[in-house]
Amino acid sequence: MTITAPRRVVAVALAAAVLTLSACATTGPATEADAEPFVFLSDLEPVCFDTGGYKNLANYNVARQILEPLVRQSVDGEYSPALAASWETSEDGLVWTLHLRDDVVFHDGTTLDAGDVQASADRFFVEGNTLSSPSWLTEGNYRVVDDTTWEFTLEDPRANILQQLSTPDFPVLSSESIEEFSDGDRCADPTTIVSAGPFVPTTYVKGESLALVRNEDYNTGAREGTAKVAEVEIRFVPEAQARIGALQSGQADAASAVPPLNADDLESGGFTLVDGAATGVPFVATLNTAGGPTADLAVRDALFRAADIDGIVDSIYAGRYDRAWTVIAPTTPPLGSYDDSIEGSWTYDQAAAADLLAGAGYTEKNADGILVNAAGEPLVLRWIFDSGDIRDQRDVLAEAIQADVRKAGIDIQIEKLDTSAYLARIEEGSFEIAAESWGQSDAYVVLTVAGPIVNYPKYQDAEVDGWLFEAWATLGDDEHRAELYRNIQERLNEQRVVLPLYVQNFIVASSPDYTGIAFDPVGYPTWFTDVERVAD
Amino acid sequence: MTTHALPAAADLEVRRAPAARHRFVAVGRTLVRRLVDIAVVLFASATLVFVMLQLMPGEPEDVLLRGIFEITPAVRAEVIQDYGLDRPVLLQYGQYLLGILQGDLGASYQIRKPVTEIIAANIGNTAALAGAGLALAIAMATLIALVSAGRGALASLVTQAVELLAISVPSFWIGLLLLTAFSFAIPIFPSSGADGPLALVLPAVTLAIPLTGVLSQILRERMDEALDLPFVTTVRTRGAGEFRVRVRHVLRHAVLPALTFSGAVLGSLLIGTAVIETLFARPGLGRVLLNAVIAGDIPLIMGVIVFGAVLFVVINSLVDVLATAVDPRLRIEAGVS
Repeated sequence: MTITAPRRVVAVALAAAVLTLSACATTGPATEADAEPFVFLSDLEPVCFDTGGYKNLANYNVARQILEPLVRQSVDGEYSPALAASWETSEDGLVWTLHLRDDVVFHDGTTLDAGDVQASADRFFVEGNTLSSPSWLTEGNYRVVDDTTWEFTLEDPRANILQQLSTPDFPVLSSESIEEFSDGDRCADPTTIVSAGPFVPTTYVKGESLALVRNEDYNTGAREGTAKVAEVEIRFVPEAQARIGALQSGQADAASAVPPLNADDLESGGFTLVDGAATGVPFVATLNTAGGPTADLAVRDALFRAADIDGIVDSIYAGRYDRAWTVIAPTTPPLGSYDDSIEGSWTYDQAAAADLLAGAGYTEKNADGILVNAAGEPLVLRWIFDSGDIRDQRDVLAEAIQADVRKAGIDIQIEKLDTSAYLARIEEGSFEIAAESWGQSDAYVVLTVAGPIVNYPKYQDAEVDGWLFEAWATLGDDEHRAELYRNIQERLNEQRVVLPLYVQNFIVASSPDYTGIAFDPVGYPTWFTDVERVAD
Repeated sequence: MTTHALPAAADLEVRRAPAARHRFVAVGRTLVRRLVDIAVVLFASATLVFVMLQLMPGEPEDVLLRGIFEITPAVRAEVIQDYGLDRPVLLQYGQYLLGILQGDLGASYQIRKPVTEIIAANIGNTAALAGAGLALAIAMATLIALVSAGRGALASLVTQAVELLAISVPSFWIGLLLLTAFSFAIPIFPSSGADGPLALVLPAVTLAIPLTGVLSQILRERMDEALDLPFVTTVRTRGAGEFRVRVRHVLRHAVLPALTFSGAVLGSLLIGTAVIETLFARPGLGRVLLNAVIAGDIPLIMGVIVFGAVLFVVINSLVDVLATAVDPRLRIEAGVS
């Protein structure tokens, strides 16, 4: 599973070195605009560039330029060919056969065949390797059928297999390069990752930048032909105000992760703002249903009504992020999964919250104004945070909710923990609230908040488990899958398992000279194939 | 300043040799002492880091792999092998110390590189930044102290206020102001990266401003004291001008504490520039450490701590040896008179 965690990192690239390496890019005289790289300021630098070893959405910014997926998933959740021209599955959905294109050239000049895919898969099962294989790929269950045909066998049918094949989590690399470079090389230096994506990495300076040149042999894109821009420079600038200043002063052409509060300013300054709504589980507060005060449905329901989520989200994110209503974001594939009937189904109502809490036994307030039950225990909810994962002012959001529900006599105590302490607390259940988001371009990701696999809120419901597994095994009937996911959302809402907070929008600001920044289905600005200069 | 009678010219000729020898012996003794210090610090920091690892909750291999989301059995086996975690603690400790003595600070399992390689790749940029910042601070502080020392209560008050301001304004804010002024509004300097000397200017100035405040305080106070000493009157009666008095005679009195302070600062700067490196998106050791802390890269944090401790004491030792060579009084303290 890919987890959105913020790993702040670094890098920068030198244009001079790029020129020497782009010798193959000599189609006609270069125009003035071609000579200038498209400079993109990224907030995050991947800690490790090998998406086969380090799965983190922050890597996608870079990985999507270099790697080419087997199958392409568009923003609306449709699938189209990429390295695989076509695919078919056995009746039981277990055996998948991919027919590869025979005209794909890797960045090192070798041609793609089934042996490359096989070698890319073998990488995960070499003795002593430290990668983590995609969950669909198991040792010995894949093979080369012929030069352009590759086959793998699943242990159980999976409805989301095409989505899985579309992510960078399974990098298809040239088999020569797998021999030449080690997994450690690929992790530390993206220029040793040899794939068939739209751009070729040329120079990487850790802590500064990565330079890319157009892959002139690229022919597997969503449209015909190569990338429009000849050179791209991704600079890793962690500080938001430094990114915005550099963009405004013309030192860069686009900046990622623009804080919502700066958005209006940039827009009125003539910059283009493009945003991609995140898919998957939006930022939600999962409530511990197995222990503590939140084990009581009435307490959870009271919490839903005691905070003015609309007002808080609107003021913190300057109206740029939408309030979330359910456990999946509205644009999450498959189409129709999002249950819009939940929108507006409860309102901010502290009086109603007070009634619910009275019903749950919290009738008196102590000297601090906190409700206590008959045993004299105050209504304390521990909200735990992974301090390494606080971004987007999520702690401010939590504090605003804390202040609001305090008026209703609920005492939220925010604890910021390091990652391992946080995960340990989740596992042992010593929390009442844990807020998370999980980016994923398929609704199966609700397994993070329900079912037997991840399930942060520890919510037990055999029917929900059944729906999850049924959806998992439903092949070729997205309508039915969507219906099952709507059932799950409805149940989780009735049971107040997860308090949805906001849907992230990944905001990119770009100079008016450029158009064409595209988002991948997860909502990260990761495709520069269509970026083009529209002004001198 | 001595009160001895002036020796005869012939005596001076004879005594010069022992003085030079004394100096050499004094410097040698200081050097030996400092080498012992370095060995002690290396041993102590390595031990401390090792104990820290043992004391952290959880199995050592889990601590070392903290921050990695999916720990495969292969990675776990690799860590156990690297640190000998399947052996008794004392043997682990021995293996760790031995490794450090051989220059092995471990490896980052996230970046998949040896810690020494990561440090080597980043120390240059940080050293450039720290060196430039410190040099600038020394120059500015000397100038301020020369101009402002012994100018009366009002001048002293104004200078103190400026110094305090320089010390107390956060670097982050100074850097952002400088960026806004000299990169965004008037595009003279690049806002990010470490490509060329131009990219060094704003970060170095940002670093130098608070340092200047502290250094100038030290220099000015010492100069204020020295200006009241009898020898200054003597120098003045010989007809020395104000400039000569300050630069040739009074400043020298103030240099030593400033030198010692600079040494201490340089040592800590080499891993303490994270804020500035992050703001200006410069590669460097401070940022490596900051990112390691954020990402929970424990082996990298451990390696940088040991490296930083040793570097700190090495630089301070060099300063001490230098000071012994410069200041006759310290030669007496070193046991050679």
